Amino acid sequence: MSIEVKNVTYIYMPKTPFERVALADVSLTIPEGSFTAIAGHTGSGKSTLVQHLNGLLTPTSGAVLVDGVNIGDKSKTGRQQAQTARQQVGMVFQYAEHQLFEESIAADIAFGPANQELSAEEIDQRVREAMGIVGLDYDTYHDRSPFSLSGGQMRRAAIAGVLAMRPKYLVLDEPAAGLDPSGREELLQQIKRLHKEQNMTIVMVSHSMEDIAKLADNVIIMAQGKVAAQGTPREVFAQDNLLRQAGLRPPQIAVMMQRLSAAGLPVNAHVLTPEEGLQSLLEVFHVK
Amino acid sequence: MLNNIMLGQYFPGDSVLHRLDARVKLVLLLLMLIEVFVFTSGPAYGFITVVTGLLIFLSGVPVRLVLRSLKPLWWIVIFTFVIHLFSHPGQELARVWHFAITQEGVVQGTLISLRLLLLILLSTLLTFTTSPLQLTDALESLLAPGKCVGMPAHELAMMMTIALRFIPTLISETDKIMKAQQSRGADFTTGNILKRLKNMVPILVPLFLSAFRRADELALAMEARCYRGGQGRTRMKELRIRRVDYWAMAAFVVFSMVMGVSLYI
Amino acid sequence: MAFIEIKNLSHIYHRGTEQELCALDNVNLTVEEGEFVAVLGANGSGKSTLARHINGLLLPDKGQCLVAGLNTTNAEELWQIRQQVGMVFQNPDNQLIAGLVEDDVAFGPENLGMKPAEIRRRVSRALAAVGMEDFRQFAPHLLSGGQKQRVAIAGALAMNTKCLILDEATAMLDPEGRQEVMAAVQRLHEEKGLTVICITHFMDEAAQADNVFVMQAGHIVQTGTPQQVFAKAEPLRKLGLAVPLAVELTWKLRQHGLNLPQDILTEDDLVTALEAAYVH
Repeated sequence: MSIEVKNVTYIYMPKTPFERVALADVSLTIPEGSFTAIAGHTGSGKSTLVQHLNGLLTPTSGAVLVDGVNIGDKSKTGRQQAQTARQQVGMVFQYAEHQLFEESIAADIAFGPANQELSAEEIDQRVREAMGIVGLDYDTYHDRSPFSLSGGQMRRAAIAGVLAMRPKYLVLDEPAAGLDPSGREELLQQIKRLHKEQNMTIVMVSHSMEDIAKLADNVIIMAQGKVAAQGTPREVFAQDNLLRQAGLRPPQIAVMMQRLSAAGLPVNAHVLTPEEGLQSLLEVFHVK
Repeated sequence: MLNNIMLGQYFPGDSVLHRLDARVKLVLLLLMLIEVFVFTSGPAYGFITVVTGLLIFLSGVPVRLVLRSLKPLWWIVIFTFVIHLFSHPGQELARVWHFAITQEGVVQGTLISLRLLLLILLSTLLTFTTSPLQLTDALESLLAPGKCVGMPAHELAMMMTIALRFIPTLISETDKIMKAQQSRGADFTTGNILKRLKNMVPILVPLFLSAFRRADELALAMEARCYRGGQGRTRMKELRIRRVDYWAMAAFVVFSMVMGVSLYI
Repeated sequence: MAFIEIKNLSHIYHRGTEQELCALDNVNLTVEEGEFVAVLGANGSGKSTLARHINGLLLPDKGQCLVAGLNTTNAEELWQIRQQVGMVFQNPDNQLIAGLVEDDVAFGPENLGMKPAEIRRRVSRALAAVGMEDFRQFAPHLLSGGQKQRVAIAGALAMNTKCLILDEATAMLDPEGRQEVMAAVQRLHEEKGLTVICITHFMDEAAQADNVFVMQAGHIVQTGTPQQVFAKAEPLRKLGLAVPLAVELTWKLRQHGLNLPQDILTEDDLVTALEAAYVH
């Protein structure tokens, strides 16, 4: 089971002077259970790509399959199935707190499940569960206005609103953008737990190679509307030239270790995280 | 889905139309529009269509771009045409089911849709060749006499400047909020009017909140840049009537005369 | 006298209501002309409130704020202060006023009542100083976040500002945008001697500062050069701040007994130090 993107081309404003090919014949697979990170320069097509994953954008040509079902299927027999498949993919936009609108946090989180026409008990159950996952205590917060929360909490409430629909795949576009370092760390840890404990498949668009190195097991690099590379972080970040062509750079620690290695120190030049870097340095300098 | 709308788009350039004083352009446009309504004869419309074409050519704005600005309004033009086609009694040309297409209908339909097209094209030409700020400055300057009777000319113009600046931002924001709510299963396309209105709440509330937030921050930024109302403010681009403007006025007088004459052809 | 002198400054929001909040509590701070100063702190530490006092967008509840000897509480001096202290805010979308880049940059000088020819000169100069002269005729919504922030900087420069306050001006930008804005600021500081006050929670932006102030709950809790402040990495982390990678690594290596200098700030420093240590 997986999300498959098959030969998708997407053209913005076709047949106008503003025509722009945002995706050019993109094919890729996001395996179930993976933590997939999508990186790329601004304008590389990554935002366009993720909006295809739950059918917000319809490919100009090509198809997107969720667990084998074509989510763009408009035929009488396939339409219902396609809609169910689309609902398997939850979507968290950048600055997600800007979509909050209800008077209470619980009501806002209930919006998605209510649209799915679930029973009141089921909805209540989902709201409690989602608030638990994002670390907002139900008794303290459910009655409060979402706009009384801090920036980081608002973001988490918005994410809870998507989680309450129990998606199998969760797409997050720069979930930590604009948060301060502690808010950032907290949110990323929660996403990691979602992956580990709830077995949710995560697709995360990120500008931070450090976060990708720390969290992802599968990386897709986008450049000029095409997939420039896909693989494990270790494989992808080893392709220095390719990254630079895509307007990206490897994680800071990797760059530093490469410089040390080039200067003749026998360090591991292929580390991904600061922890690995520290380990390698300690070995080289024979200290514990 | 909202990025097809084109509003107040300025196309930088250095054509004669770009160089005209914005006040002159605004007033002449208004007068021209009035003439479109007053001189409703075939020859007059033929002439004004040719002149509009000439103006588009003079502006240096690509024809494709000008036509694109018609796109969201096409259906209104076609709708008007079709309505008129059937609604004028006269010599019958053809019959569709119970309705007769008359010769008078064809003539009227063509004239009325042409009038609509001309209105849109001429106003679009103004926004294509005039930067938003020049346009609002012109408005402020034309409204200035109203200040004596307490009309807040500067404030109105400043409001328009800001509105024009933020329209594209708010359109893309609306698009984003709509997508976010759609991802949560919101449905904006089915149900009766009441239900559809209710379905707009999840879009409108975030949109208003964001507009207020923007207004708040913008006010702060303006204050930080020494803004304190219209008093003592100068302009980088001063409006000034130059020779080219007199030529334009003269051309307009000739144009009006031809229009007048065309009534008697 | 210092360019900016803040004495016993306190600021209380919503005074006398349930939400009463003391955002600044008896803060003292001086900034010399031509200095590059960073103010660090987590969200809600009072750093933005502090910034808004420096150009008189907020006025002190207690104490005073002097800029070039002018007092923000004096209504007549306020406009001179705002001319000298330019401000760039967090959201790139919410601070450009006009529909064209050049018209926006002209906004400040227009408010000051300058002559059209002079405004034109200043707009050209300001746009060139931030490398945006090719975008004069662009509408703001067609620019990237980093470009918008550079236009905002140009808007301040066009008023002949002496001091630029960046109020988390890079927080909403992607890495390239952050880099292009900080590079422009650094250049203005070095070449034109612009005084810079950088309010941020990115520690690497603070590394290039002459002086760092760390804020927590309305107080300044640490002051010093970046070397001095970053040397104590652990307390900073407790304040919810992320320490630059080189500082963090150095700190851990030293804990493990490796003899490295204490004043390492950047990766360049660390690479040099490690090379030296390896040769020994």
